[in-house]
Amino acid sequence: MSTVTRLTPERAEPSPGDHRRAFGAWLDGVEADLRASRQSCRTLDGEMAHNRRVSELLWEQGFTRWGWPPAAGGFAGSPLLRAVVAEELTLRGLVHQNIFTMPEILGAGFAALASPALIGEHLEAYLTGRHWWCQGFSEPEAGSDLANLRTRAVRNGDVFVVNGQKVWTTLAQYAQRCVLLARTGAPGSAHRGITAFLIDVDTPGVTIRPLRGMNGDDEFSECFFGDVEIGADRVIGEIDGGWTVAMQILAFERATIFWTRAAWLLERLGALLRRSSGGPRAAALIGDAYQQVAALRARSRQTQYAMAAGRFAAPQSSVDKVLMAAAEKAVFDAAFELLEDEFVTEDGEDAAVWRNQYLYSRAASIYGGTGEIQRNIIAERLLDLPRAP
Amino acid sequence: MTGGGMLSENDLESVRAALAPAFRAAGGESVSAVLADFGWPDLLATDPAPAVATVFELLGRTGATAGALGGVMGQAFVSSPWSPATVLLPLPGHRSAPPATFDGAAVSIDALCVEAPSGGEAVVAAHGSDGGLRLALVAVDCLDRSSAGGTDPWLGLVRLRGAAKPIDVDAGPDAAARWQAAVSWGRLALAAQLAGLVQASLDLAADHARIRSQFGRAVGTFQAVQHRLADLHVALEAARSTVSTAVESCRQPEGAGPDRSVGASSGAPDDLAAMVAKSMAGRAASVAAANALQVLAGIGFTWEHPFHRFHKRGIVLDRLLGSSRDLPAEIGARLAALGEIPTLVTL
Repeated sequence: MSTVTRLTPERAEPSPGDHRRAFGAWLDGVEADLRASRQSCRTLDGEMAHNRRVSELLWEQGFTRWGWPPAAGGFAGSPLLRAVVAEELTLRGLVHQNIFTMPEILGAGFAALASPALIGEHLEAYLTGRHWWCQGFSEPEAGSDLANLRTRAVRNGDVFVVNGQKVWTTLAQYAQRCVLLARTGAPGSAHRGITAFLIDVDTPGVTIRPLRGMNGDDEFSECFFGDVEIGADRVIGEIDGGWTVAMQILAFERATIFWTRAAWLLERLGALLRRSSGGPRAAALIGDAYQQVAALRARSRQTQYAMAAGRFAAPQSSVDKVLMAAAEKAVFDAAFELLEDEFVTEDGEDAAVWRNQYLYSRAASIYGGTGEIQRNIIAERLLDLPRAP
Repeated sequence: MTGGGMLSENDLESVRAALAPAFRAAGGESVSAVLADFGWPDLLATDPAPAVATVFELLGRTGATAGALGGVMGQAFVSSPWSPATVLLPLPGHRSAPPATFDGAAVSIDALCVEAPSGGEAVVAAHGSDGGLRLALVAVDCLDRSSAGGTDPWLGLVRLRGAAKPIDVDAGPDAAARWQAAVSWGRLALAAQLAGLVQASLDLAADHARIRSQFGRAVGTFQAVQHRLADLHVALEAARSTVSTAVESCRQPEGAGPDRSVGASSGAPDDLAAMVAKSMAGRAASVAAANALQVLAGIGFTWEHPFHRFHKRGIVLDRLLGSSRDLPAEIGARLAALGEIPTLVTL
């Protein structure tokens, strides 16, 4: 980080197409190195180390600085320029798209609502890959019913004292910071009494316990908070205004990153097409998965432009989320059908990767708000149906 | 590009505003005369893809019909001496296979047309005796004409049969590509029309769910009902997005990049994009057929309620030029032939 070249922020903002071409040309020169870096270790530890190398390199080169605030070393301008970078890396299989795009959720939500002082102090370390952040939202008794969360933050002078438990916290074991939602209002205050904090994970009283998912990865964690002290200067947005932060972050989680997700699904379909021995059954399965990914991509393109222009209504992201879950399942259902023997019987690395991704795709309609919650939002907010009592 | 200009979103909104009242007032009858008075051929020549998507979506939404489909497929011939051309459709079971066969000097035809022109000429794709695809220009009056009302008697579908001596034949190397372009134009129009009728079905069902009360509450408060309509909304948005992709594929310069399959006829929708749009729109119509009817329940099953006309039109339009049941395999076969996965759209 000490050797980072400060690029002139007044450089002219390229169009997304020009940025993709310029990035692609630069990427041609380092592609072999990045591929070797990723192939060297396909465990979660390896992916995280690789992701840090790639993030730092792209930040140094300036490709990923567009759309981030200058206070964090960004160039301001359009976040679409980052989307084309993530897409290009993903189409070439050079990053784990899920890990690589996480700052597009937490970082972007933080940049939108945190104070300039907090942004200046913390965001750049995350965007360069030097730090990792996690999202402390869900609790054992507050999943889909997020507004019912119980982790409490009680003010004591200049600090809040946090007690409670979080769960499904993605990659928390690698994190230095956690965007934490805690109740600062009365127990029955629902979404009105929640505050968002940026907490240091190494603060005394924080315990992280990884959870193994059915795909074998320790992707999620439980996080325990026992009398954890956090400065009042670490509040993101307003005290008792955490629901706004949560909704902003969830809109990014349900929409922004799916441009890259769709690119990954296209890359996976390409791999499946090369592995398939052809025939009408393969054509029907791959064709169906492709049309669903094409629909997701077409929808997501409109979403990216709307978000970049600041005219995107958060409930719209539920449509993207439902399309994403269906498309991802269709791709890996097709893979399972067409690589059936391998899926069922083989232990080699290639089979393990497909199987891991298939199993992970089963969760696509669960994380980031279940399919049921998305459909409730679509019905009540987009179709204007009367609310359930 | 074949067009003379670009239609802005404002222009298209003006088109909708101008045509919608007349389309609605037609009560499902033909609006061909309305379209002609509006200057449809000029609109089509100006910027064909957005014009087609806008007008056909409006046809679908209002339940009106017009004999414009053959002329839209005729966009594939816009730079040829046959222009302006009307192209005949294959029967549903033939998907996109040519609806005619060469038999010596004559061409034996069994095809469909929405509101077949009285007199004049039509283009039909035909199998040559060598199995190759040819295009024939025939006089419509040589063919026997019968109503093909069937499932949707309000659509104005006509069956044209008979042997005709062609006025002209295109047996050149581009004939197959031109037919493919005509099919892609037709798929774009049908996809837009399907999206429109799905919107109409969703509107009917959502209105009903807001008003109809059972167990002391609007049925739209029940999650089982909400989710059926949410799924229909998602299917519709998916269809709309892919229609937009097909429209935009007409505007990209030929050979825009290695990640596109280039349409044979300049300005025509990308083949793959048109297949995806037609398939996803047909699929949305299937979801509408099931979910909107289930929510409308008893009243939706009656003849007096407007739903059944949208339901029946969806059944017919889904099956023209390849159904949502058949197209995925056709899409997959195309991907296998390409040996790669086109990205279709970029930021």
